[in-house]
Amino acid sequence: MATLAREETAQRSHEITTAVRARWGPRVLLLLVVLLLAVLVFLPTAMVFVRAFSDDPRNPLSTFTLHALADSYGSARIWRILAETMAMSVACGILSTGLGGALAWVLARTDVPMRRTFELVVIAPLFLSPFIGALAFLELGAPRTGLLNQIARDLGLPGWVSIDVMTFQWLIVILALHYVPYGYLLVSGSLQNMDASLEEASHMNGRGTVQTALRISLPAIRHATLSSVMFVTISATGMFSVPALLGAKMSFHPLAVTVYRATNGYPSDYALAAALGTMLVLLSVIGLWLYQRSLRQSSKFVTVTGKSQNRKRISLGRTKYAVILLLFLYALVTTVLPYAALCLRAFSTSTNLDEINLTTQTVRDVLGTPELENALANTVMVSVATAVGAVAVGILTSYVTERVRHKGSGLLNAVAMSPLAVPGIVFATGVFALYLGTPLYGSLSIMVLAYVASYLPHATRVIGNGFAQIDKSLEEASRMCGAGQARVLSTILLPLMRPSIAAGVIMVFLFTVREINTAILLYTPDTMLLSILSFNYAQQASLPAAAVVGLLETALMIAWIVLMRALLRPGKLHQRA
Amino acid sequence: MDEPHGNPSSDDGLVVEGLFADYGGTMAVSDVSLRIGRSEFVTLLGPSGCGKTTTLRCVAGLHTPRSGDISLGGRRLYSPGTNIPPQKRDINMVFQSYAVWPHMTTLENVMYGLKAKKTPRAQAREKALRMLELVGLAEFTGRNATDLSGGQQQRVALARALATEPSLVLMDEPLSNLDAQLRARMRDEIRQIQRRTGITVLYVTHDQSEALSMSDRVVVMNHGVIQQAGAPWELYHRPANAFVATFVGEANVVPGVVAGVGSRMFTVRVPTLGPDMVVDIARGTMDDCPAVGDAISVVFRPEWVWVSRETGPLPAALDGNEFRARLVSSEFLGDHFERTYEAGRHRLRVLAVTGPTSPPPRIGAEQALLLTPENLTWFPGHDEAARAGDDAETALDDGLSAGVQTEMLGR
Repeated sequence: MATLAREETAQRSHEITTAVRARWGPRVLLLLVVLLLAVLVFLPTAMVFVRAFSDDPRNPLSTFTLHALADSYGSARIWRILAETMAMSVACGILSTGLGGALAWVLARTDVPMRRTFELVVIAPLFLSPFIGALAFLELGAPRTGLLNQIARDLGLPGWVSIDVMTFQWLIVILALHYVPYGYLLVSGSLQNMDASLEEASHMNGRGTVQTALRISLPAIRHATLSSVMFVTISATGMFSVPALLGAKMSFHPLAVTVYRATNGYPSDYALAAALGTMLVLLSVIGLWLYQRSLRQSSKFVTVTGKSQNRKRISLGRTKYAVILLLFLYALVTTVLPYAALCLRAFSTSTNLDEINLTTQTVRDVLGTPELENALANTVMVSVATAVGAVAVGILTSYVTERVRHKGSGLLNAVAMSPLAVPGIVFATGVFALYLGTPLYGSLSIMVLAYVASYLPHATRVIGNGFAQIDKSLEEASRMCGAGQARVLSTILLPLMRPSIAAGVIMVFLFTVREINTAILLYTPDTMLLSILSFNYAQQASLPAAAVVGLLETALMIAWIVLMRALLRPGKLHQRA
Repeated sequence: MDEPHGNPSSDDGLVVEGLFADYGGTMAVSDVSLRIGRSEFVTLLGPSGCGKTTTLRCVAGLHTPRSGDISLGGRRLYSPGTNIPPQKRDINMVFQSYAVWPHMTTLENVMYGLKAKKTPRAQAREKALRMLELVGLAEFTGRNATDLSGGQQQRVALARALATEPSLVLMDEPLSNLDAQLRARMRDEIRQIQRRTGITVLYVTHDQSEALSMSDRVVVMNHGVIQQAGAPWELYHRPANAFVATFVGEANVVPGVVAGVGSRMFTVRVPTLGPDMVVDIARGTMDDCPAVGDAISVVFRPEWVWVSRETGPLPAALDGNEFRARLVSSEFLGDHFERTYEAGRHRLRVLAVTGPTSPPPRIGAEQALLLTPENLTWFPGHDEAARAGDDAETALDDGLSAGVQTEMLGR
């Protein structure tokens, strides 16, 4: 009897240890994610606020100061700048969402031909860095010398038919054109996920195409639309490179540019930069809160059945040709003309239409410089490391928030999303202050750290959506078959998430290659990147070199997409009925 | 040695004792205890939200209960302080959504659990093939699992659950996503496979015909509490309360008071059925017998009622166990009528079989219904609470023919 009892106790204690171990796994994971997010996101952001109160971040207490706050929050000039910045970014958000949403409706609901091609056309501006895009528009629409203005003159058009992109209106238009793909993607996802029967029911109740679109579809995507406006507004508020280029000639310096001038001017005032940064952060937090709220609301209209494939498309009839014409015009303005202008600048000694002289000399010269070789290698290293890093942290964070569901995991998600509210240039001041004096400073790693944090929200969102699409019973079935947590992750979750992982890796790489806003404060000559190189070339007025670097960036992005699609074969998502 | 928790090791099957579980703060399972013997097929039956799936998930280890004891084959799976993770419980499960992995072939799906158990590849493959043959999918092994039809995916899920040779297979409404015909076929097949392989099954459903036709024993649950457990025949003929009577099949439930007890029968006054109305109930139908003055509920199924006087004026005095009823509705289904009568303060469901010579019934006609003493059953108490409207509503919300409750009129 005694041996029996001992055996039972032994068995029980064994079972208790397995039970304890089973509960420890998630806790370790949770701790890991908390630490990662603290180092990557929280500390740099906190440093921005610390820095606003001190002249020397290494010794914040003894150099405590309020002058920066007085110069920023207390300055009428800054408040005017703030108002102008908001005007610019809100206008951008509305314009790009309106255009993107209209395109999304046309491509998702009507029988316009060649939809797949046009879809690519609509998102094509993603492959052009906004800065390079602005550069191209400068080639096209600079007063007098712009290519379009030259053509207008050659055609004998009256003098008032000319454009000047170095104005506030055109700055907004050019920025908005850059953000159209974002508006398109956000609204289009919502339109495609919408239950087809909602619209069908409207038709059965006697409403026509227009009435249905206005009364059913539009309210259904209202929140997606709002979240798109918010997203673009936040992003445009932190945009530094484009206004720095196009706004140079007017007296308009949006907040992000003012931050840059505070750090790179002489004497540099880091405290002021940080204080201005806090203004940007606080503004963005409001926007982000609205964005998250509308995103949550929009999930109400989503179908879970995934049976909306057989939706009947609206017949456009003769308007079809007008729509196609508009799509071609869009392609012309956003893609064909900018690339043509860049190519002309890169391959011709002059952009004067009368003196075109094609040569590959400039391209060869630029490609031959050791500076470029260095920048290319750095860009590839940083971008690959960032893509992999952001997606890996994104997977960990989503796993903890979606599956472990420990107390406070919702907070983790909010922290992972918070870099959206911190504009790149502001975040860079925090990273800069945090790692000042450490060996990381001036290395490529510091950029990777900053980038991973900056693009963590994007990666987490894509990966999190991937998680949400996987029915929990698929994992439970695996556990019932005897698989532990690690096995479930490696044999069920990761393979099923391959499409989202591929999307995340591609997206983050694209963002990183184009990134200027963060890098501008963190780079050193040794850690030069392609994006910074193009910015510097443009600042030095060597436009052909800037154009070549811009084209190289696009080539790099396309190469990465091809490579990732071959490696990860995202294919069609296996959707369960 | 003290045995504070009883002696579960004397049983090779599943033992659940005093299980309490909540879902998002609301108590979903209250004090559930059940035992399943080896090779037994037990079904948890109840309307949606009755706690049957929560009980199942607690056994699986996919949900952590508040308290209680769960053991399988003498091994404790859960008790305060012990919580074996699901993958170590030696239990497998068939999910309502099938949960067939879309990125694997049929064969890979079935082999998955064997690989997790480190079975040598050749052996695992051979076994998986045998399982697929068992469920009739031998020629679909290389097919991508999600290219299969619903019924076939269901078979894959079944084969996968059987492949690891678990001590217990849980099935969570596995047939609810299939169409009616396929459901009937799969019902037979699952039962046959269970008999052939001798596996122990805990099955969850809200479909009473599924429960009655497949199970060795059925456990009826409502509001997180077990209402009655027993063999299908017993549940149908000896319901323990009004909920069981009306959820398992249709039933008319009439409150009464015992007026006299004889050697072969006892007499019950049922005033709500008619003034001075008494019915005799044969004692053989129950082992125990109520005492004079006890409040009981008399239960009779629609098919137990006999329409004794279909046409013509009723005589002033009716025979014993016979009573007047007015025909309210009559639905002709070919082999029988489904009728509703009003008698006293009750609305009664009656299944009437008539021949070619009797004329079609006239709505509103006064007829006489006969309850033979052998075709009556009862349970103690009046059980007003369980008859409250919300039960009938949840049952009907479920889209079930839960059995029409005996409606009390004029109240």
